Amino acid sequence: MKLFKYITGLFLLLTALTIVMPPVFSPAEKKDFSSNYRIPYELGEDYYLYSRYIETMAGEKSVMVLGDSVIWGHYVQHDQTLSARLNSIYGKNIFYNAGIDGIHPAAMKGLMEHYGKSVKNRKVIVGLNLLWMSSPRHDLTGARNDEINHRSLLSQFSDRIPAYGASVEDKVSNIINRNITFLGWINHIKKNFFKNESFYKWTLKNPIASPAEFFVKEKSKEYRIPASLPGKGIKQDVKWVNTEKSYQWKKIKELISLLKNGNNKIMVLMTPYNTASLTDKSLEKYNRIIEEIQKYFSDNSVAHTGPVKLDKKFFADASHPGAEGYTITAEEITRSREFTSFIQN
Amino acid sequence: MASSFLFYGWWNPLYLFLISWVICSDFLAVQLMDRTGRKKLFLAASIINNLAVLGFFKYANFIIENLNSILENSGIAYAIPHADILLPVGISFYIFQSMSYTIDFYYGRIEKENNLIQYAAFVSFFPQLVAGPIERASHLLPQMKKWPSARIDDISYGIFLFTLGMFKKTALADYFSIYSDKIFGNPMNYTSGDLIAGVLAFTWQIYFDFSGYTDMARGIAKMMGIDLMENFRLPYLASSMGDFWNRWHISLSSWFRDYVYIPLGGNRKGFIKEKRNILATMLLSGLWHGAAWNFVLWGLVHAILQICGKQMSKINFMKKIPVPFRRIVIFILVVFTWIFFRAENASDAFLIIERIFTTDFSMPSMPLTMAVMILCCYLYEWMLEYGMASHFQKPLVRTAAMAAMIIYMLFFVTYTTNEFIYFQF
Repeated sequence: MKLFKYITGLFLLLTALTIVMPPVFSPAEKKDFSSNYRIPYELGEDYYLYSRYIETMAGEKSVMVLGDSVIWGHYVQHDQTLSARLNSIYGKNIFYNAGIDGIHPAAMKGLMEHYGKSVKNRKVIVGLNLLWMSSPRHDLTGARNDEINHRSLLSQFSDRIPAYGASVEDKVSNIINRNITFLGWINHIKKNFFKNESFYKWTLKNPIASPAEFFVKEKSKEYRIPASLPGKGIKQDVKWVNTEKSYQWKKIKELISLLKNGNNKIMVLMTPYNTASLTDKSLEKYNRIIEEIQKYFSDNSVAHTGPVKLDKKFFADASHPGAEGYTITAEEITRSREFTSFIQN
Repeated sequence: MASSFLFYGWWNPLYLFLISWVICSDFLAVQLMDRTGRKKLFLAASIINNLAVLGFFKYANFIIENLNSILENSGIAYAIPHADILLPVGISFYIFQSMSYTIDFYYGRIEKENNLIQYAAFVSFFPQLVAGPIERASHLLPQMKKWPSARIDDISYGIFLFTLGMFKKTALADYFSIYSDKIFGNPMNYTSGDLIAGVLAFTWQIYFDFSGYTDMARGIAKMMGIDLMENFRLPYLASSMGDFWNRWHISLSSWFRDYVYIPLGGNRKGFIKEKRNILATMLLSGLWHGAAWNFVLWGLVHAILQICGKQMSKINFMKKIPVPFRRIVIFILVVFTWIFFRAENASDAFLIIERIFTTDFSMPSMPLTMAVMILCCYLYEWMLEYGMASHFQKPLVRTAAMAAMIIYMLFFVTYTTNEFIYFQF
């Protein structure tokens, strides 16, 4: 009976801690989200940090720039990204980089659904990268793929995603993890205050180190820009997925509708694509998809702009601009009537 | 029973056909024993059926491999093709559990069970279905007849046991496995220091892996008001090899004792027959663990050590050796036997032993944290054995330990855990 009383007490205490710890801890952990901050590369799966970041950045005058690695700036430093270039054109920090490296539309929708509850009554620019429709593999409609990024953000049971073959246990665990803030907070602590790796593996790599060293926070590393993949001059016959069949396109539409339901003002920015690398046939299909998407947006009163046409020398790979590419893109879009009207209203 | 079948079918629905076959055939065998009076005939039929099922699913490819090597050595250019057989999880456990029922009925130790559903619930009881403890009908079946009723104390103790088991598995066994897997995966790359440390890590890995599972199984059962038998009693503090088997995987060793060793004559039929019985029992026990020669060797080494130990215990001088010293010697011997159990195959086992004795001793690369944890575990076992840890049994201390274990698991355990070692048996 005594044990039962103590265990009941323990569970009540643990339950209280799970509720109290994340909000209490949040203000105590000082984070500097200013000067063109972006979620560090190695913390791309720290969704607790992400939700804190976008909550902190909420403001009537700020504009959230949501998107994948193109928005995040895979081949540039944090002050060379699209949002950073827009800030420099406008002369003030109103655009904040809410991109995550490696995220794709289906995961982006999950991100906003589960970690973006604070995104309400804001101006949101949604980056749309057609790369995610460039093959059934990217579109998640191809064969089973165990390397899908940000898989825990996908619809676990409600959608049938051909490429996503997680076990029922994994799916249930993903649902639990994203619904219990405390678990996200623990993940955040592990990633930010420990060595961002398994304690077990760390001891194996550092056999004679004191375990106390595991808790010594490392200084954030400077992001090392990966080498560009300029291509070999061979034109690619990209297997574009039609809009009517594309899963990622379906999720983009759902994402826009989700953001609209939160009374946000949306503008879709179709990010540049290195069309010079496409065969004529692929280019034709690419243009057709762009037209269909633009038509959908016009028919549904969704403000949109882009894609900005960039010369191939401004690309680091098929869809990521380099530093100069971002500058040109930012200048081009700020000249567009849709964009200025979106910002001014 | 429904939840047990759902649990088992979750792995693979095809498994359900096999377990249903075992349940129905043994249930029927006892019914026929009772109705016809031809006990021997139906017991034999039941045993043959069970061993045939086990033999086919677990040992077919082992037998084929050995026949093929005989054919090859005889110069016959023919190889029997391997059978594409799926080894059902926990088959060795539930078949032995079911067999104990027919054998116990044959010897008049238990009453016949008339309700097939209750019998099926006994064989397939989900917490212990895939890795034991191998329960006896006389212990578990009567509990199945009652509607589950757990007292508050049962629930709290069950929660404690479950947490403890989970901690043993995820915080200890899985940690030790990182190192032991590395060493056993490529023994040629390591010299004696690392090989010894690797075997030591496996020694504690297998103990925490298996006893962790048992604790979790017992914890879940306890929360439902069902008592499962104890499977481990500080095995690494055994003072003889015989004592080790009274403390390690108790449900299996007592099964072999009751259904193999004693029916063969036990220690009552003279010196030679006693040794033969030990040898047979241990070889079968080794083979039960897996269809490979290293398991047979593991059983053989245990048999030899047990026989030698028994003989040596008759020497007066041996009786004067202090018990703590004997415990340490037995622990070292047990650690040595795990080489055969864990090695990828028999030749790897001999390679490891050879390299332990022939290569230079260098400081092992085992993490210091792991070494300290192992030492703490061993010291804690000593304290338990000598009753110096009674305050750990106090409710408040248990609760505090539970809190510490939960917090540790939340922050330090990786979510991707290894499968329990004994699932493969």
